[in-house]
Amino acid sequence: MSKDAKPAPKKEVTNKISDEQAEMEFDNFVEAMDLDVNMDTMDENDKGDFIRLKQTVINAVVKGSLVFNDDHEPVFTPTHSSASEVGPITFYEPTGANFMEMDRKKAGHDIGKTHALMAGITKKPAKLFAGLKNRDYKVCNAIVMIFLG
Amino acid sequence: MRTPLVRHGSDAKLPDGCHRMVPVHSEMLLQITRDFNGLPDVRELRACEIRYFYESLRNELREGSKPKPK
Repeated sequence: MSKDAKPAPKKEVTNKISDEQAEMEFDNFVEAMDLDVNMDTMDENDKGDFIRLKQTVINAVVKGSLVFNDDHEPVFTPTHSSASEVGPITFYEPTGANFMEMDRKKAGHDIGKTHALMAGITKKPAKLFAGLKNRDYKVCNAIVMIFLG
Repeated sequence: MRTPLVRHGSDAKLPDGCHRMVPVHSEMLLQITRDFNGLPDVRELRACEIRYFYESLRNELREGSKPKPK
């Protein structure tokens, strides 16, 4: 590389909303889905996992790739994957059909359960998630893991 | 999950961190399907609606599951 060559400019990501606003949106989501996120009742492992998952979600909300609709359901738009062509992915509140499907999966098939739930609650094919870039997949996974929690 | 199930006459959460969305709602779904014969299609019921129907059974379930005196 010659001395004159300049490095490619970094893609600037500006925050769409503040951390506090994102936190509030997250709290509304948790409240609407009846999720128990009281860290006093979690063991150390669960606490660490939850903080990591929550931070992933909050970061996506702050950057604007994750928003919540009027029913407080997360709507994620992949920003790093070719899957962005398919548009936003809505994580609908699970239905009876989703729970029946989950119950049918054998114990110990946690990854299978997660992928089945992901496809079920988004009404998208499971292969879509296999095609996501890691940074986008992490957000989808965090949402589903918080749902399962 | 915040909403408890009913065990032995009172509200209780599943032990060992098992009180999670899927097992809790699966149990609620089976219970309401058994007790309401006029439910809409249960496959279409959203989680909040499952909890709503379950809540209406809570007092009956507490009574029915009380340990019987020996």
